[in-house]
Amino acid sequence: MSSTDLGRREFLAAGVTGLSVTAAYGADALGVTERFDEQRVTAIVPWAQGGGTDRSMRITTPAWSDRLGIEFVVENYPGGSTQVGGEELYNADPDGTTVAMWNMPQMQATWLFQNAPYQMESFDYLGTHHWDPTMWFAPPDRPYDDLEEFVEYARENGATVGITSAIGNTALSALLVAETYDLDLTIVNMEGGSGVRQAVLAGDVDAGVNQPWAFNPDYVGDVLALGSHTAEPQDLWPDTPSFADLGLEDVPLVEEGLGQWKLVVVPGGLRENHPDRFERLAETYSAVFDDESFLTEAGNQGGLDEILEYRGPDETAAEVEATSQFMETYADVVENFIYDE
Amino acid sequence: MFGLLAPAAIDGALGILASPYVLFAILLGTAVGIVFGAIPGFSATMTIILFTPVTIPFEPTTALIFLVSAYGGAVYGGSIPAILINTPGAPGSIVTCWDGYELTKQGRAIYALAVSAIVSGLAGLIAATVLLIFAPPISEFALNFGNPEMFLLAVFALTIIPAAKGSSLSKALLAGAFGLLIGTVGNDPQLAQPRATFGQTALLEGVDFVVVLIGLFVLAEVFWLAYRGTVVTGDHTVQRGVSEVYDAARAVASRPAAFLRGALIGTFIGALPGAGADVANFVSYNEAKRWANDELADRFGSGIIEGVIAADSSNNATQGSALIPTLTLGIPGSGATAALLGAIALHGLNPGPALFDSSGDIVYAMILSLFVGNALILVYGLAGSRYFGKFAYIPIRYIIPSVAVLAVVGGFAVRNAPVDLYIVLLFGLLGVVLVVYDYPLVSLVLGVILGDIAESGFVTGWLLTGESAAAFLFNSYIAIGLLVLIALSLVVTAIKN
Repeated sequence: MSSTDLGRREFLAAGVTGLSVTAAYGADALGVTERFDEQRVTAIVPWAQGGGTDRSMRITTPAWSDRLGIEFVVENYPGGSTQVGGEELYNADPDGTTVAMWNMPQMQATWLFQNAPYQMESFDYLGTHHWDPTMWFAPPDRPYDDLEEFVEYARENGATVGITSAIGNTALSALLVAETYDLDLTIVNMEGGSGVRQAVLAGDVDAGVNQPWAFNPDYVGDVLALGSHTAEPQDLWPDTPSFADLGLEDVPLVEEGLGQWKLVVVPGGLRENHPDRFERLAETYSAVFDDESFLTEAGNQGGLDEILEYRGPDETAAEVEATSQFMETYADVVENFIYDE
Repeated sequence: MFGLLAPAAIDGALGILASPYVLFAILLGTAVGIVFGAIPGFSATMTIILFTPVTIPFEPTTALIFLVSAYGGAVYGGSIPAILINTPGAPGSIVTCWDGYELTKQGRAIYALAVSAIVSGLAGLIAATVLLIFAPPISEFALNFGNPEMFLLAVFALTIIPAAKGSSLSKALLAGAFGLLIGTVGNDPQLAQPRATFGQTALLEGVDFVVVLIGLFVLAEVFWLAYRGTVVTGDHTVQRGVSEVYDAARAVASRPAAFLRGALIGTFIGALPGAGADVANFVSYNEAKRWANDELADRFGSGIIEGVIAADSSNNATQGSALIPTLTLGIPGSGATAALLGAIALHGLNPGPALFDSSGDIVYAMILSLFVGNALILVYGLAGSRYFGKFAYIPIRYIIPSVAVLAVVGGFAVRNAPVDLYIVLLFGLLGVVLVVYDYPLVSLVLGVILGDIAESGFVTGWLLTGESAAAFLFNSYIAIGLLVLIALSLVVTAIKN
């Protein structure tokens, strides 16, 4: 045997490898790969681990998995103000094995202001998860008790306002208040909910915009809750007036309520190409909201159970469209902020 | 906002710790952390992220204690490959390479590993004590560390660049500036608009410094190892005896001030939101050098044990103190504590001011488990140093392929982005070129790590202080203190050069 000839072991190893590869590709070509039920579902979270979206997804998937009979694997794709995770979902096959928990209006902002390659129509929508209204907070030593008094203060003195991201609901709320009352606000992106919380607790800002659940209801009483960008008060921070209660109806989106939705999204085409899988995912997802263990877990997450708000696929798609429309309506407000800055 | 020690909760915590399951969780968690921390690219953050889903079926106390133990083990574990193969397992161990690997090249890997285990374990115990007793006042102090202060801290750490390992000042500064430039890739921190991403979505989040680290240190070292053909250099012989471990104990015992300085710097920096072991070990090393006499200061980087003590006493001390803002305010002090924060919430606890009241026994059990975990680092580290130490001297035909594979796996695992594999390769080749032309690699990495902290701190702080230089620079007594330190550091550098 020459030195280049294969020995018996090498021949066997090469043969086994070759056969394995051939079998895998051959099976795929013949359509005898694993069935949907035998695969795992990848659950994309477009934020880092530990944030509100990540926690929401991770407490949802166990109960969902029980009903679906398929295991979920949560994968975090942070970056690009959710665009990195958004593109991961956009590029996934619409075969029912990939879902994502996204939040809006952050989702819309990625294609409106960041030139993401996808649009609203690029996805199908399984259902909403919860709605956390936009709320204004302030350090406890400030000379105002609610947003109406803050507006007067800011008119006289100017003010710094911390927001959680450059192009989400907190930015829009701050920009709409500033524009409505012609205020000289210095709006500062604190890069996340914990950044806003820290700035408010340390007194680095005159006000911070966040959501009540994201801010953490344990702080009720430690900071001033100036008002929520809604027509009706919300439950998590009792005694906090809504913008309507304070007579601030001139601010856009008070009647509709400006807040952050968390929703479950799948690659576009799933509903059309695999209606059975879409229905099965949607039905089992909806059943999660009746699951006792899920509700208990949500209750343990700082009162998440109080803001859960499930809506089915069609209602969710309508909500996505409505949010897209108002984001487009106020796109110039956001763009002026970004490009002027 | 919250009270000091709560005896009833501590009593409950001790009861929890007495459970054999919990003790097993600490034993296993620490061991798992050491192993994963020792794999290049698998930092403490990634170890926690990887194991959080595994802990979901377990009862919250056991699960969280397992994760806290893995966190401590991983920070220590990062130093093992730093000493053995000049490859930091995690960003918090970059500085450990400087003297640790030099000792390995002199045949004294076991000695360096044993010192690393001793100072890591003891520093962890000190930080755990601080967390147990002083968490509330320290968390309030950490809140005063705002954006201007974070910027000034980053600038202070950047002044270490000229001091880095004896290269010329101009080359060190040039490499550092290039690192800062790399740090600007990605969405800008204020307005989320992309910079230098070349259409790559994965780069919107910037170039991850762990990926740069793997390329510059791990892959470049693989190339160098292949070129040199051996780990040990010169006429040195490999020391294998247990006497190396005794020497290590004596070395630490005879340098209590050096150890305490590192541990306290680590404890302080770890408690700050946004800064962790990666910043602490640079600052600690720089301070150790600054406090040394001229003769000793010149020998830093040549394989002296003071360098290992400075690096490893500071990085492990960050673990306990990083938990302070995490547990008391729900504000993570580092990437690892951000991951831990998610795990804590996932297990039904709500980090924040009410946590000590609502789940005091569990929280104190986590804190007390740090004492057991750090004692275990001592045990595992000392017992294992003789065995770990042999790895550095196995034939390089085994070392090179295994480390190269780990570099690729670690680079990809950071965020599952294929583009990171090209970045690892690019920086691996760049690392070789930089070493050939005597540019210090660490200056580049320091630029990448600190660029993000400095930019974010500057832009946000500048806006919050009304775009006034005076208001920004003199924002607080802390800011003024940092300005003084920066000035001192620059003056010393100017005089020495």
